[in-house]
Amino acid sequence: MREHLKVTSGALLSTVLVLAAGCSSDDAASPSPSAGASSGSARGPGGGGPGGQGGPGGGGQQITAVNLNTDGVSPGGANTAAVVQATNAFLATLDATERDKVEYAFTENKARQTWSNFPATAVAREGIAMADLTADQQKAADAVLAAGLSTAGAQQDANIRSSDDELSRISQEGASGFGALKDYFIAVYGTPSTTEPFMVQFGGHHLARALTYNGDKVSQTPQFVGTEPTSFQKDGVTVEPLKAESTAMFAMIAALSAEQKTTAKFTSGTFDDLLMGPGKDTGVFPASEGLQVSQLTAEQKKLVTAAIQTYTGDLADAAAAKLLAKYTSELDQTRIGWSNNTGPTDENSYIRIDGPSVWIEFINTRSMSTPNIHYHSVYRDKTNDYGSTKPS
Amino acid sequence: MRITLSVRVGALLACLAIVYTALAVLAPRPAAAHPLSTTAVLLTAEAGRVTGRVQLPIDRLAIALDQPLTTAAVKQPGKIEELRGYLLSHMSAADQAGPWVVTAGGGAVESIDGVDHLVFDIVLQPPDHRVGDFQLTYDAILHRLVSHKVFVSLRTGGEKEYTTVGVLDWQQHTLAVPAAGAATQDGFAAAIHLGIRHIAEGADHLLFLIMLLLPAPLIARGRRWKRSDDLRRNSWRVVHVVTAFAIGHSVTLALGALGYISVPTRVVESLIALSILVSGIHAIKPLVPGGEAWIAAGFGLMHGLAFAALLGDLGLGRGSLVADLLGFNLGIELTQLIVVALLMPSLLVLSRTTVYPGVRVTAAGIGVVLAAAWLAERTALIAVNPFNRITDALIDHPFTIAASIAVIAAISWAVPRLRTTTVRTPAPAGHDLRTPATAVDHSGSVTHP
Repeated sequence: MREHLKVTSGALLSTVLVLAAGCSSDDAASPSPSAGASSGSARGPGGGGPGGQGGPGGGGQQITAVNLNTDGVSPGGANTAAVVQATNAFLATLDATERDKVEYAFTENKARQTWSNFPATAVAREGIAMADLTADQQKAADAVLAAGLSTAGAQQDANIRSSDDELSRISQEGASGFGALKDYFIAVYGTPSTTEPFMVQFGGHHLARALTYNGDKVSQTPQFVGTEPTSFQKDGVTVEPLKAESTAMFAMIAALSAEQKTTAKFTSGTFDDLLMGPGKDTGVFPASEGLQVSQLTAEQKKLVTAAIQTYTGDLADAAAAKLLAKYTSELDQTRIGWSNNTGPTDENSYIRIDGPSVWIEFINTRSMSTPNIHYHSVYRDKTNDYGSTKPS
Repeated sequence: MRITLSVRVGALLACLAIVYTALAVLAPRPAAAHPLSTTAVLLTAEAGRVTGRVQLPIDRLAIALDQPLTTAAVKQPGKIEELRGYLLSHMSAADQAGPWVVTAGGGAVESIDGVDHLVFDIVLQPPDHRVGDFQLTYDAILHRLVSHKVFVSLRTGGEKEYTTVGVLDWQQHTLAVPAAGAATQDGFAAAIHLGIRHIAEGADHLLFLIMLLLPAPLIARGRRWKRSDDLRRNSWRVVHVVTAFAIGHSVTLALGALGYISVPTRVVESLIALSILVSGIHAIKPLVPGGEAWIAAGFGLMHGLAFAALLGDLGLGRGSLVADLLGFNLGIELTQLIVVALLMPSLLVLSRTTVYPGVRVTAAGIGVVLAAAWLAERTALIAVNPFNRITDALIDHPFTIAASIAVIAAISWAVPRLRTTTVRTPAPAGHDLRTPATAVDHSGSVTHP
């Protein structure tokens, strides 16, 4: 009897072992191991959705360092002294280790080019996470952005960061990568100076700010803004981080006549995301297409200017005004266009403003995290991204 | 004496368990990346050609073709043909010697990270049969959906993981694929690697070996297994079994690879399943007392034929057959030794506990069931093997399994009541191996009915 018991217990133990091995494979379950494994490691980070750990050696988003000079074409008007002061005040709150994380040489181009529309868990950001700073340090960091940006620009940053808290709250699958603090990073390139070039880099999942100063000159591009969801409630108030941009861009297309709309529709292809997103820093832009703004009425032109203003207006007021004046003067050489759809909640609605200097793309895109479309938008300056002219 | 020894053995097993668990945890795992509607081109550089898989997200394909494509629509035979033609018209490869011949087969729908993809198998054949760096030009989906991204990855025939070569997008439809660097690994080292991979992923070869190792610490008395406490004898039996298997499969591997013998794959595969079945039954009740070495050698011949077929399939051996053959075989033997090193300490300890008959019979029973399923599948008695998932799972977690067995051994050994005390086969006098058996005192702490 006793022997039987022992034999049975041995059998039970073995069975448990086999079952355990069998079950433990379920989490990595894929009917064909080679296909599953390969797709996992061979692809990039999650498409805006959670769970995007760009695998070890996984390419994901590719950032190739380009040669960034300091010859960018800026109409000037920068409030450099105020930004220098705020940046130095922020740096003074950091200890040596933190400063080491935050401060970069101005020549570290690859780091300067590192931004993304993926969360930091998928594409690691440079600098230090807001979550790793004390409340006072965070306040000092926010003050740097507040100095460089307009009130509207700073408010938009706060709203976009809130959208990541909201996304983390509502997302069905692992949203550990999102959050207003843990996904947002700040870095400073070069020594803040009113005469020598330096850059403040701030961003996270759906935001990229690159504020490059060189004396009176300033660049706020590449600028990436996005939000998922597009609208949400926070403390009883509706927050729409890209309300200004989306309203103005869709209004600009909605004001076109049927004939103009046909001319404005792109024929080169269709879109499900931005073309000039992260990593597209070689200065090569798609061939111009769409409707010439010179063909528009004065009222329609005003709507184009208003749309551009929602991007340029993020910068501190004086410099933003000079920049908008420059782009407005180039309107007659500028084209606008659209693809797929023209409604703010439609699938893949895509709108572009393409001038001699200004480049703005706006798209309704998708992720696996939420059931609705969400916004991605990028603003570049063909002659002044990162304060640099076209890279060689 | 007994206490210190048992503590020592227990500690040893615990350490083994920790090491195995660590290995299981640290072993590279595919990352759970979440590609939202991107294309993946996964290339494998082999001798004389590059093979690969193209995974096209069906929803993006629908946009690019401006067709309401659904998974069901894609699966229609005519549609798959059409889409294969579409893929081939948007893909080409070339090097200095000229354009490569690109062919595509397959066309299955696979759910990858929750998104249905159409997956084609491709073969890229250089005109001079020399795999060097080449230019891949590809714009399927991309030619129309200009914001689409195509991730191109490469590995060598000996590697499991891919390395990203680059991303094709609206700016770039052509990419340099550094296959020459990958191809230089093609040779002796690659052959060893291949051998290790093949046997480590070949559940049938490992299972056969394990079935033969199960009764190694035992001795056949008529139709029953009895415990043998002679460590030296047991170790020698392990050596005999492993050597016999090595000799058996080396002979047919060499003959098969050199082209002297050829047996249909289905027959070979069926015989391999039979070999596991027989050795599994033998582990339960001795069929051929003391004949494990002969079973190992005899069925080893069958396993060697399977290795030879694989070597041929992979196109290895075009350069220097002997080196590849040696390397491949060396890889197989190395993996066998690793398996023995991982399992035998636990089995030897377990054999000194009263749970061993249960463990052995269960393990052998599982082997018999899996082997029977394989045999049925390979002789076309059944269409789908219901145990494939289990065998895949077992193969994917070798260290977890080894660790679990070590844990069972440690637990069993740690419970004094489960430990056996009587030495039925005394060690021959004069040997200098201090075996646990001879050191265990024979006080009757375990009661027998």
